[in-house]
Amino acid sequence: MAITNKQFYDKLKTATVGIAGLGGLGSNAAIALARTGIGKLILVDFDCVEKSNLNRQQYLLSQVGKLKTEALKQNIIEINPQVEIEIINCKLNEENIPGIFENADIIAECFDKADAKAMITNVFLNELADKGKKLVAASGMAGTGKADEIKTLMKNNNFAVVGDGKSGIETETILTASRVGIVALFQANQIIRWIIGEE
Amino acid sequence: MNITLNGKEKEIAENTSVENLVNELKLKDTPIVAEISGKIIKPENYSSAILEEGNIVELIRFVGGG
Repeated sequence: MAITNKQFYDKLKTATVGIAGLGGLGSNAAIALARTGIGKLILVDFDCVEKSNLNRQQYLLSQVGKLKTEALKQNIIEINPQVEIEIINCKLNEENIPGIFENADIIAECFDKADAKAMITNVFLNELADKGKKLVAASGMAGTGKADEIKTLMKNNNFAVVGDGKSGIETETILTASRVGIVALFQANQIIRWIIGEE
Repeated sequence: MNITLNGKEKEIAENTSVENLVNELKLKDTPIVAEISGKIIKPENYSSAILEEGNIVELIRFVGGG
């Protein structure tokens, strides 16, 4: 039987999701989760909004120069003021990740650099997976390939990787709002599925 | 001997290390996460982690963009 509206929104309301990186992936995923009615978001980034971000990230020209955490919080409040938002301005690393996401049920890996993606995945699988948390990472979204090549690969029941698995900025150079956005929304979709108890 | 690599059967030589496998797959300079039968192998242990018959190996490759 399909989940009822009330069951769906009740589950969403009690969930806390950590967003690691607020670029093209993180800003899009966070806004989708906010629109859906997520209870709490922990938004983490150290960077400021730059003009060059506006081609795919959910910020405005008037927000250039602002911290991404502050700007995204402002945008989410304009969309859904009921979302509880915690913002943390720092660079995530092996040492601080477990503490910062201590209260997150699910973490979205939304970095842009490949080595940072591998780093947080290692920390998650070593230290957080056995605490019942879940991670959805992203790899392979650069270039102009077919949207249909993007998949959600379930590595196990608490770890998924979204992307085409191959198209990196190292070789493709271009990042589009469409392809990065698709991956971000796939991430948000997997998060929502986990929250309501689906695989 | 045989291992399962990312869900597919693969034949490898005896005494193959994670490092050997990574090199064979030309993933030496690519950020990856290596898992052998559910256990994460840290990069500094790739050369000492020797694969055994029936191991379930996941090599998760990360490329940039976000």
